Amino acid sequence: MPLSSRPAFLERAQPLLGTTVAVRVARADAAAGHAAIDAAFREIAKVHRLMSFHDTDSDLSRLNRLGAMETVRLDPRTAEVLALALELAEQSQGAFDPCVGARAVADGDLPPPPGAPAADPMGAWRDVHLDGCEAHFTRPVWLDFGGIAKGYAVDRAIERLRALGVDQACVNAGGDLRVVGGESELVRLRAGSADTLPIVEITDGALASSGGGDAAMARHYDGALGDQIPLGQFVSVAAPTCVVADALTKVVLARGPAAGAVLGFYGAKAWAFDAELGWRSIGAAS
Amino acid sequence: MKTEFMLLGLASLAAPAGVHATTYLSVPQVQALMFPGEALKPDARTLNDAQIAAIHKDSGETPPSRELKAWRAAGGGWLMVDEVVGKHEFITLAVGLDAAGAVKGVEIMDYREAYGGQVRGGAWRGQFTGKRHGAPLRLGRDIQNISGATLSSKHVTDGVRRLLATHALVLAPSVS
Repeated sequence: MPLSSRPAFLERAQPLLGTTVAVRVARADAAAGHAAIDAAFREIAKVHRLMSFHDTDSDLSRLNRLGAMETVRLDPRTAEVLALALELAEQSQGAFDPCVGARAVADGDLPPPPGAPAADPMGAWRDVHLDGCEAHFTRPVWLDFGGIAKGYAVDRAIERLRALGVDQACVNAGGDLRVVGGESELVRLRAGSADTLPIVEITDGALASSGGGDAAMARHYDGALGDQIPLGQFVSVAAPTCVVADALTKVVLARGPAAGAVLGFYGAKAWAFDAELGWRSIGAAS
Repeated sequence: MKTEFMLLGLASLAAPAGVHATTYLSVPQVQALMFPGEALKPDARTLNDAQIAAIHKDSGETPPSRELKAWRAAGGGWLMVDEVVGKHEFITLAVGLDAAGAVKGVEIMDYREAYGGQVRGGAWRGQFTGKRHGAPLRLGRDIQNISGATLSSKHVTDGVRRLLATHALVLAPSVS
């Protein structure tokens, strides 16, 4: 398809979610397009405020201050992320566990949440209970949505755009992205050997990546084993939604090919790189 | 959802893919977006040594240039356009302030990223002219996206803080 036959796009970028978030919409009317992009950025900022570990007023911080058997009422968006996080924990047998906050604090990656009761060392996702928008813990735990909230923010932005009549769009949060409306995106994966160029072409779906970096980057944990995932592994996951793609990168990092069943459950596929094995596809990868 | 994974040899590409560059907004576009319907008067400044020292003391950041690109809005607001230089990226940033000095908006106007020692020459785009399964790829498609090793926006945040200090120390006192 020659460039000229693609519709004209409006694209803007703002510093959000600790990275650069770009929103691109097919352009019918410039004013309406910019208004839709503004709404998408506002929604992303809202998700960030709700689910920030650092902001003491966030829903997540209110959760982390909960004592055993106390109840807190969450914004529906926070409840949706928590429900999905618990489902992912169950599907991955704890490889993905939103209760990694205590471990991340112990390793100095996150500050202790102010005013929170000490996390129970035995606490895990099974101690978190959600009834509608009301949550309670059977043991005090510290949740961290660092492995899932960015993908959710991308999905919410896409939903806002659609609600405002935008059919074709791409929302890209520092390389975790979702594209809708029949457009395909070429995405370079930042991994592999220097003389190759790994590229995923994705149409109507989401792609997220984790790992592959140095020690200065965020660490990931195997929730079930409590271990840090070794550096140097790189995973990209394609899934129908960005929240699922984002979270599943951690499951594939932790479990490798054994993550195939979880990927299948979510209609996702993965490409993993490590220096010894090179590139591998996991799940129903093409 | 449809996906396809391709592993291309760099030798098959007409140009190395070491630079990622996107232009989002021009100065007139960012003016219209942040100050719709308002006349903006160019009010560029050249920062002197004392001002640069004061900005550094206040924000912890040193302006990358003495030349400050600024516009004054009819309603008393300000628009500043500046460069932010990170470890691997060069960003043109626009910060709009209302008449009270509060942030109206922050937009990234231009983003250029270089990494991995693959930078050769000027700012070109990694145009996708390689081959896939022996067949030529669609022409004219740019690799707009890179996934993995998310870059921090710390430099942008630092730049916004520096521009807020610049406004408070240089722009605001000049009109009061």
